[in-house]
Amino acid sequence: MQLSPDTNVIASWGPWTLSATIVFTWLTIAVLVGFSLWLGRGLSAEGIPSHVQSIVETIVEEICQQIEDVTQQDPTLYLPFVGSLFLFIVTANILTIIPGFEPPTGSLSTTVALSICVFFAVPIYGIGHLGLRRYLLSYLKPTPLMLPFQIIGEFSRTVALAMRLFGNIMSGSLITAILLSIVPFFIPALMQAMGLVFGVIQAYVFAVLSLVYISSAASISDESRGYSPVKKTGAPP
Amino acid sequence: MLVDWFIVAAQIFNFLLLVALLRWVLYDPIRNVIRKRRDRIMHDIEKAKEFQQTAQGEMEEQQRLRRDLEAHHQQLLAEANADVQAQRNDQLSRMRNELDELRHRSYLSLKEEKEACLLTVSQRVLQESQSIARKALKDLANANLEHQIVDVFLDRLKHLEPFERNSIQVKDGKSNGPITVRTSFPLSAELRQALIDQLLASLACNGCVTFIDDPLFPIGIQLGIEGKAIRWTLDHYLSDLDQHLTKALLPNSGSLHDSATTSA
Repeated sequence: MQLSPDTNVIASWGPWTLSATIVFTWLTIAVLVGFSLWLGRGLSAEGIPSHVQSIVETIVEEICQQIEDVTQQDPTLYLPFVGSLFLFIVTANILTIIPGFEPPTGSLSTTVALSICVFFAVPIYGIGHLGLRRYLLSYLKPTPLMLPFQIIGEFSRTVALAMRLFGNIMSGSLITAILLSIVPFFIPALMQAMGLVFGVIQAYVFAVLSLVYISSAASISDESRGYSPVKKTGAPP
Repeated sequence: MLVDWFIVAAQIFNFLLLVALLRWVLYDPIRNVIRKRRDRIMHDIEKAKEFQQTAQGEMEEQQRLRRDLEAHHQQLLAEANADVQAQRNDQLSRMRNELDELRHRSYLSLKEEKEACLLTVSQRVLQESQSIARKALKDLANANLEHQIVDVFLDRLKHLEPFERNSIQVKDGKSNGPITVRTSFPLSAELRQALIDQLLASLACNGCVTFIDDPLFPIGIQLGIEGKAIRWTLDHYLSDLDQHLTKALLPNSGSLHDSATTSA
């Protein structure tokens, strides 16, 4: 029983190996980009949008709304990164309904890679908002004595982010595999369905936590830059 | 379960590539579409607001026009009602006046007819009475009515009351003015002389006596001296009959002969 798709080597060129993790990642990316290209050809701002367009618009708007609710800032800057995190993890987890597909998020290397991306995104967004000096000074607040704890916190939350996603997805796949060998009917299907729900939840948790980390680093009000969040609900003025 | 750092690096690259691709093919197009639709909706809302304001203005204008029209209508109605009322009152007043005039003329006409009828009846009765009296007097006493009238008048002159005599004698117990004797029948010379003698004897009249034979005068005789008169006619015999007839035909008027006859 393989715990990670990393060990499933598809091809090898000397020291370089092409594992199933990378292949399934490419497949996930291909699905997302292919669907986006297909959708982009039929996008229209006039008339009534199609059902698919409406669903995608709703998803993107909800992501923007979540970003706006958490950061109280314009979501445009955060949307590509956070939205891609969410969509990649969700798509990878949902594609597990395809027989033979192993979610790349079940690989610790993948979750570590995503966590590293978040780890570097936090200072990038923070410096972009606050500037290098103010960002570095934020590690000394409320007191310089907190600097070691701040640094430890940065690393520990990155590790926790990677381990949480990996543990949940891997355990789900493992439980499904074990149940499939014990009770081959119904229960594995039920667990698979629950795995889909858990996959969506884990994607949401990963994306929101990443957003919280990034927004905490860039915790400056954008109102001073002339931005105020626009509420979608309610009657227009 | 170890982390393959080659896979980690590849996944980092893959993820960053995915971020770039999705931003290019998904987020930007979708957000542009949403922005365009939002702008279009806002534009439509603005246009709808303008239309609404225009409609509101037109509605208020229409309501104002309707109110003005209603007020004008009420004013015209009030004026028409006032005109109708005035014309009605005028017509009623005119009709009432015409009716009163007609009624008055009808009343006068009826009254004249009644009076004419009464006069005719009275005259007829008088004539018949005279005829009857003349015939009865002729048959019963072989006497002439006119002679009897003159005799009665002479006897009356002879026995005048003092105040009657004083009223006729103007001064110094004598009547020197012109004397008029009016009768409905011609007087013979003998009767005329008898009258002159009696006037001279009773009233000491020495003026000129004029005899007038008037067929329209009621049967009898009248003596006129300086605007004063003494008369004796058969009319007063018929005064009761005249009053009964007048009361029956003209209940609100007096006797016809009362105004025309002055009893001596």
